Amino acid sequence: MLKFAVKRILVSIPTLLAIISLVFFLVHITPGNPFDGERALSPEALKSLMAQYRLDLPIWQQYLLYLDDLIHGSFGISMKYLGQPINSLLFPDNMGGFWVTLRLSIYTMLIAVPFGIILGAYAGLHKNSWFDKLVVSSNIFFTAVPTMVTGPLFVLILAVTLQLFPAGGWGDGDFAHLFLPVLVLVLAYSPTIAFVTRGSIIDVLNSNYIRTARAKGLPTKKILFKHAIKPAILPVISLLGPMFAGILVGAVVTEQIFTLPGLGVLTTNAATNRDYNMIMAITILGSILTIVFNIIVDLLYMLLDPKIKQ
Amino acid sequence: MSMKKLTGLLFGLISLGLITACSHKSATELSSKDKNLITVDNGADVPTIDPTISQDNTSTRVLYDLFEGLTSFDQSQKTIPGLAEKWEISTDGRIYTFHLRPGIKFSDGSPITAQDVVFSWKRLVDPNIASPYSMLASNVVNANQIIAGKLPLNQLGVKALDAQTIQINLINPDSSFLKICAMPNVAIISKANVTKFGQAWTDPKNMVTSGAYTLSEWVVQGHMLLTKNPNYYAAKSVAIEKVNILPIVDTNSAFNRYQTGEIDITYSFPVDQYKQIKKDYPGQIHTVSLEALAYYDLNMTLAKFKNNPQLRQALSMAVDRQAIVKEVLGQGQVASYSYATSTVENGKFAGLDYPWASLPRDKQIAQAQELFKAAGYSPNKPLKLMINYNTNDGNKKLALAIGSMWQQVFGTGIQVTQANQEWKTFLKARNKADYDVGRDAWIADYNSVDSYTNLYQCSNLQNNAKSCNPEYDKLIAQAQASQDPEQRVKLIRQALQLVQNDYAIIPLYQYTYTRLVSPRVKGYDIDDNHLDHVMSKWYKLD
Repeated sequence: MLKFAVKRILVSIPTLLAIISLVFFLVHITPGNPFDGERALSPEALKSLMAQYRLDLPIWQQYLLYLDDLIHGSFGISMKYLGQPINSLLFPDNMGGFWVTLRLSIYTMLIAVPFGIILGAYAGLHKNSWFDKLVVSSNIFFTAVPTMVTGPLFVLILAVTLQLFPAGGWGDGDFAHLFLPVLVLVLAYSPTIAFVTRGSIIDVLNSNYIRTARAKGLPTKKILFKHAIKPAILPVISLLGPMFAGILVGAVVTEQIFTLPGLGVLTTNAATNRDYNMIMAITILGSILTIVFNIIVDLLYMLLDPKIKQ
Repeated sequence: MSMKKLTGLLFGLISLGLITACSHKSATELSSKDKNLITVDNGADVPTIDPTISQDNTSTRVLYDLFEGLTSFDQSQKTIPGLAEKWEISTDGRIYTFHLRPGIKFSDGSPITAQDVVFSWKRLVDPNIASPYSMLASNVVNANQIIAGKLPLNQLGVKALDAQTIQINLINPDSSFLKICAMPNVAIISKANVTKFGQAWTDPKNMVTSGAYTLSEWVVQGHMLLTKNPNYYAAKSVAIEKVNILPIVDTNSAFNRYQTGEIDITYSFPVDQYKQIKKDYPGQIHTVSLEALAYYDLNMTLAKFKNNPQLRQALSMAVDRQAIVKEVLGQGQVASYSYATSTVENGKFAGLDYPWASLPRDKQIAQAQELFKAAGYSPNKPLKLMINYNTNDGNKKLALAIGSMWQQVFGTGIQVTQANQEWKTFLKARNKADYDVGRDAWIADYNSVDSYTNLYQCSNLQNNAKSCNPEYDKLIAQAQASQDPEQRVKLIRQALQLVQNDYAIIPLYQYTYTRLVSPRVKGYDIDDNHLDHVMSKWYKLD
């Protein structure tokens, strides 16, 4: 298994390098530069800034220097937050940036996963019951209604009208400040988990070995917990890796609605400000997370699925 | 692991997470009932709190709290003593001698000396720092050569005569110089502190300030927490202990948080809810004229504009500014018919409107049509124009409105299209003069007509129309060199009248800003604050 993990990590290095190169060149050919502003800079000031950020060098040289920085663990200096290292903006020691989004994602997953699995499993076991229909239709509903709608709606009802929760902000990452954003994200992600679980349970229950078990007279409870759950959970697990990485880099809208100091706002700002180094850093971070979670999912698969173990 | 154990573990983890989350309360817990804490939305995150290189209004809002210059200003934008208690100006208006207040200290308790002042000014013109606002010093002896890297820093005309006295030598007399001295870019920073920490001096752990507040916390995109500076010379009159500054871009989110009492002063408001908010929050919503001008540039590098003054005038006259401010914008903006606002320098440059501005609309149209015909365009030989603007709903509405006004006045003699561009792409195109008609706007840095007159000078970097009238430049130079304030105003008025008749830009309207201020906030004279330069030390809380 260790051999497998190492192999997977090695294989992902060229992928990552390809992503880095592609984004690097795409970002640098976008019109406009980080130092264009409403107030035009004097040619001397512009020259000096370009030199400070190495933007005066030929692009291949910039590229190699960037890779060199990366190898040494540095994402460079931000061009929007002048002079501030990207590393300390993304991973600040005061719990902003990545840490905010990470906590948001962990809480979301901790609630959405069991919630979704339980709902989905129950719906699958009682196919075509009213509960099942509710799960299916709410999946359609919450997939169609984006967080852009549910977020402000909850704020209006629970924060502005009933004054139960703050309307936004991170506070100290306390329960009151986290409740609404986590709720919105749970509602956005758990229906998908429920839906996949439901489908998978239905498939497994219809499979031959379960029918055999039933024929052999095993009690339903035992069939479910000993034989059905494990294979039924596999598709859900393969869903969770990309989903987790997705929330980590993709909760942009939720972070904006609740004015949270996470990665999302950094991402949109970086793009509009041509903060080359920040765009690169977030893309690389997103890629690494996706790769890592996919490896974790594969490893879990190996643990759970005897077919893959060989 | 069995399913039961797994669910048990998961629920355990969740409750653990919730418990730790709940128990994690700290000093920044914000309450709208706290008399020692005010929460203000600043509309966006601050790109830098290094005063020397700051260039945008969001940074300025924070920097006026953290630092102070030789001079300062009050709520009516009048220049008042800052860290300098008094100053003398030589009879030729070229030498300023400032005397620091005795015994003043930085936030760490170290004395503020003339050396710190000299350091702060040198840093502005240092080519290695590359401040976008280095032009503030352009009238200081040798500054331009230093900025261009042709002279060493110590040649700057700012000298410490002794520990308390600073002399600044100017090339020309400048009636705005005391206002420039209050700008954050020349606010006094600690030489020892900046030298010790280098670029990291702006880190809240390291930063030493000279203003009414210090920086305690900065969570990027989260909040900035300012704490009263006990070593500030006027600390006794600073009422509020803590200022929490938020960077909320989304006006709806900010308004929600105002409604729940989490924010005391908003930066803006949701435009589509203006009427409702006005009804629901009477006396809390303030609309104030901002010292800023919105205009369209006509690209003077293009032959069709450069060689055709009649066309330029026709286009300007055909724009119905009253309809724009009333129907398109509708938040108290004022129509503009001149190149400077009527509010700047408290009204010294009012009444410069184009003579045709007072004509009834149908007469304006008739004249515009005549000019357009004389300019050589007709349905048989139509004029093709494209209006470029940066992507934004308001800009789009304006571009569509102006396009349709031209279309209405000139009929098939003109074909107008509109194109939006993402901000940086737009700036690049405008800077390279790659457009026909371009959206533009300028916010005055300080209460001086120079903020506007500079825009129309031949070599000014901000002259996006790329127009040039040497006669105008000459008059402005004369005005700047003049020591007689009345003569200066006269010359500038003459210059503005001259350059307005070039019609290189189409002035449209003077901006406003709209803000909600909680009734518990006292001492903020927002309605007179046309520059929107604000200091938290003015506020008191009920």
